[in-house]
Amino acid sequence: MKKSLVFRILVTALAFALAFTFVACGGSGESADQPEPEPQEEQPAPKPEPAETEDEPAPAEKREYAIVYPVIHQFFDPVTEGAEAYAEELGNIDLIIQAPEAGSVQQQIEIMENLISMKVDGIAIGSTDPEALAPYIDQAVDAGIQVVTFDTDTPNCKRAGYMGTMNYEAGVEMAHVIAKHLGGKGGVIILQDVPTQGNLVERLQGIQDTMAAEYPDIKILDVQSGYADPAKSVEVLEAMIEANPDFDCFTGIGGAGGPAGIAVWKQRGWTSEDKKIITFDNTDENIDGLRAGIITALVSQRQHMWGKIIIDSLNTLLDGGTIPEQNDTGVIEVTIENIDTYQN
Amino acid sequence: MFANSKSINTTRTQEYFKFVFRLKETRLFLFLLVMVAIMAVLRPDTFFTSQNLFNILRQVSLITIVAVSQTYVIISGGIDLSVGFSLGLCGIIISYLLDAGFNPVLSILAGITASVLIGFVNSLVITLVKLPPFIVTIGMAYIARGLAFVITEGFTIRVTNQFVSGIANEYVGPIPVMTIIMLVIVVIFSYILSSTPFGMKTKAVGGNIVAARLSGINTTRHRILVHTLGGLLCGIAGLLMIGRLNAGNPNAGMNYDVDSIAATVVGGTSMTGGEGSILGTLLGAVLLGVIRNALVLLKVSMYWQTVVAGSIILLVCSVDNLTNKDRK
Repeated sequence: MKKSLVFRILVTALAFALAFTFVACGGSGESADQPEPEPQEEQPAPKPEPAETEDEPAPAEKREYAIVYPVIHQFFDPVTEGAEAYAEELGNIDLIIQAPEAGSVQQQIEIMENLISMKVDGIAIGSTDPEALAPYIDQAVDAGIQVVTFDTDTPNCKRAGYMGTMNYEAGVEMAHVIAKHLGGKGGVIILQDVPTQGNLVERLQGIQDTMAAEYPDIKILDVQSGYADPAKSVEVLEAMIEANPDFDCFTGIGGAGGPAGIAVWKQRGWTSEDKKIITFDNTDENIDGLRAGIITALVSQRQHMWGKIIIDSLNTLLDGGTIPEQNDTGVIEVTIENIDTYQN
Repeated sequence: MFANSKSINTTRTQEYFKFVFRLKETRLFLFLLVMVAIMAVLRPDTFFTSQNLFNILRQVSLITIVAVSQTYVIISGGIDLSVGFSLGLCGIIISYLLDAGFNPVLSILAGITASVLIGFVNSLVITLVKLPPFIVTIGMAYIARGLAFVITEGFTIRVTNQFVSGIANEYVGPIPVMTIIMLVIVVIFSYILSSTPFGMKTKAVGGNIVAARLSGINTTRHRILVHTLGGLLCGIAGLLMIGRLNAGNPNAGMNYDVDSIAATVVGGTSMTGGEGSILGTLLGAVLLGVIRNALVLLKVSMYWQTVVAGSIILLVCSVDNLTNKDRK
């Protein structure tokens, strides 16, 4: 009898604890038990900047958009910050930010299925695997949800458009930056993250093609993968350095490359005067590495603009407008000279 | 006399309910009901739609099949950390052969055979070389994942075969085919475990391998059979995986080792072997699936989702252990 009572108390406690946990952790600045959106027809919403259509009335009804990243990574923090700030400015946008923990394709598919059953108004997704995600993007579009892609495109599907970096062109630009800093001659070692990730494959291809065509005196000595794992990336980079001691420049293709380079350079007491690191992305670690004289140059994407562009694009589509199929936000070289001004 | 008979009936009913309540599966089912009740209150419009409920069932199908394999291995006293990449390699082999124009039946058989071989080799090294299962299967996981990358060179292989795509994505009425396959596997393997000499031997080997050997069970042969059977289930999961992804992805299967162990343990299987049930594993997998689904529907921050999921698993296991009258 006593144990039965204990059990009932514990089950009740469990129920309350679970409910509390869910409510307390309601994400993206929203509470999970948030009441249904109140009608906001009377509240004038600030007008968003149109993507292509002009003189569209500002969307007044509440809209729910999901942004799905390919992986949880600080690279996407500026996207979240930009989107949340813009959503707050507009006043009628609810944002759901989701990402699979470790770039898991299956988990990203599950997120897509859940968003479709939630009947959100729009989804922006950076696919972990474009081939695998394409049918699920089509399912969302067939269910009446507007879908755009960013970061990594999924071209063979019904998505309305892609925004972000044209990764092959970013690779071409990276090759030019490397050549400039090496004076057109030297050896390069390259670290990939996840070798199946479409955007990284395109960047690598852009570098390889440009080196082969325009800089015959620059040799790509080795290309290896760290699978986006920080510790493994350091290990692989160290092994590459041992195998290619005469290299002149290390380049990271994905997010793990820069931090791995900084860790190895610090451990060996190197600076950019000894060996060069020229890598992608303006993450906090890379910026710190640039300021510390370890990194020579960054080729940075303009992801701080993506959040606003995503919301504008989804608004335009829901208002019946069209968006460009490809919206290249470009890349920019960041060095110690322009580190404080490049975002202007 | 009539009153006396009524009293006996009441006592029997109470005893029956006590017995049912003492079952791990019953308690787990109650936890599941609590979760569902919370979601019914918080998200009545989005959680209780047939689309969402079948989403959950489809999403847990693959992990349940892998967890059934894991349950057998754990009950027999082992652990298998190669399940994820075993199914991944199976999928890669099938998609590679299909892409190269091989006969679909032979391609599927080749892929599943690879997973069966992985289970077989695991068990040979464990039983003959006498290395701990943890080490053997983690080594095999590396090999399987590496081979997947060797075959694909890191690229995804698109799968266009209608049969492979159909078994993962089609429905019979409102029920996904993949879910039906999972339920058939659960019923068959549950029956084998609970009602056949093979199942009883599995529990005996995991409970006390010395006593099992002394009682006449060929423990080496039995462990080889359990791992090989587990490989077969991973192979089936690998086939379904490439249908679901419409592609062979060398990263597919990532985290399935940990997730399958979580479903098995939440389902009441003892990590020290000897006891457990397939029904419990199914409930464990569904509970984990409901949690994952709920976290998205409730818009829980992506940074918090893993923390919340892990906390709920710990809470469920702790409450169950504290209220389990049979615990030692």
